[in-house]
Amino acid sequence: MGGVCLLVNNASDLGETPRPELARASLDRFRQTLETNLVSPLALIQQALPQLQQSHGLVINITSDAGEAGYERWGIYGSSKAGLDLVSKTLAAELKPLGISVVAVDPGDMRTQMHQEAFPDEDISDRPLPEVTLPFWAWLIHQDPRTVSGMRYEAQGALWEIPA
Amino acid sequence: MKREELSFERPTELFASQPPEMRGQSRDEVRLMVTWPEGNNSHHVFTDLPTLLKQGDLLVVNESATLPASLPATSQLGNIRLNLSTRFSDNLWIAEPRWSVSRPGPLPLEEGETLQIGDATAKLLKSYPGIPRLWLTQFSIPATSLMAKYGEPIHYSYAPVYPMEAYQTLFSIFPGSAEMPSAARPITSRVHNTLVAQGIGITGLTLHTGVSSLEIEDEIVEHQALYPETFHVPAATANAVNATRARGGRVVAVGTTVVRALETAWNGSMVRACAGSTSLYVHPGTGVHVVDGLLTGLHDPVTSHLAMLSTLMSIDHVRKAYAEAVEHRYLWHEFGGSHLIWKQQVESN
Repeated sequence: MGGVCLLVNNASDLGETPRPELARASLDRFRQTLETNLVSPLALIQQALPQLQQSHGLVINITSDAGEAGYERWGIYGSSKAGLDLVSKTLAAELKPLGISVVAVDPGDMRTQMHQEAFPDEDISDRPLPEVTLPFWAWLIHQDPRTVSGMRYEAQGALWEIPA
Repeated sequence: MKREELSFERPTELFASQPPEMRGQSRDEVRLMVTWPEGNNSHHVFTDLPTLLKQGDLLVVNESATLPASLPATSQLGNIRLNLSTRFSDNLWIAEPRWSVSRPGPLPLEEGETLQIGDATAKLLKSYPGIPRLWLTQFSIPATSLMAKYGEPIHYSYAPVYPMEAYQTLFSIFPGSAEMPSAARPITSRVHNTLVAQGIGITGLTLHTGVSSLEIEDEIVEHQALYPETFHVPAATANAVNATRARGGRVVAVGTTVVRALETAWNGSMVRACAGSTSLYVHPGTGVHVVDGLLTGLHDPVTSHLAMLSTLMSIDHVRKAYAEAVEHRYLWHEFGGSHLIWKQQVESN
């Protein structure tokens, strides 16, 4: 197997559907969501660490505005993403001496299966297809990873900032 | 805002096909229209600019220099033109394939198709989401070396191509623009010196322009997709803008590119040092926060530039000013006349 130079933690679990209020949420299902969305990405990063160190690689953790906003009925998925944002930021600092970079990316609302599952009764055809984020990915992978490490990006946002 | 609100008539004989210095004038002898906060217009020569500003005002200019961004290319369709727009890396650009200088696309090109430029190749990876005439394009060698060898300035059917010099301004320092940020073109050394002598500040930022936007296609102006441009607002510039605002001076953007950069760097209370890529669309829904005035050229109908202008003054006043420009025979486009717009007071509703 060749070296890993890019690790994208994309797979996520929306949790219980229909999305419950926290007060009534199943705790077992909550633990399961945290396991998938928060613990597993770290497990993968730990596994890939030696190779990422060798390649001075980049880790991209896919996050969500639900991790910041406090939307009603988004507490399960949202808290897993809030946790992942902190994991991303902390890892960016901790892995800097190893030459490994970490960013978080919120792709924004898109017409995907998961988005439909989150809004089962809604017509989501007004949301853009995932292709709308392609320019962002093309831009991101052409930046110097060490310059952008620690950033949290919105792929559909108006500003993709390069920190000074 | 509806698309037709940005529509107006202006005869094609008012397209400037020559730089003023090739019409026997100096760069700073182009016409200058001023739109005042009350919505009335006055008509001047560009050399009057210093008399229209006062001590303590601050001009913010774009320090991006123009590239020879138009390349001849060969495709399965024959000889075409590839205009580079925005750099993502040495070898990856957003680019616009055109039939020719005068004939735009979109061309019937397939994803993955390879264009030939000299002995290098340009692979069309993916058309830009929402803007099918633009492509994410991968070059086999750095595009700058192709530009050095084969490139010429991007130009359109209304004007022949001129030497690269004609597409640079007094402030062109950092190469990167696909097309000239032309608002500062009439600022000559003598105008510059007069401004400085009068205590009018001049500071710079960088925004590398992409290819010209075409007419907005969406019925709702605000829905139009815009592509990103690389920019940098240095700390010293942010400080100068904030200090000018704090002491009641007026901040005048020289060019729509400067408005875009400053609004991107606006954090809700001040401008901060900021760099990266911006696709911010400034329109009546977003408003403008940083600038009190805009010095710009005369723009085409139904473009995002006009949507930006209508954040500074009502759309009726934009239309009135443009009607006067036609009546007074102002020339359009990068070699044409100038327009200084003072922001109108926001009407409370």
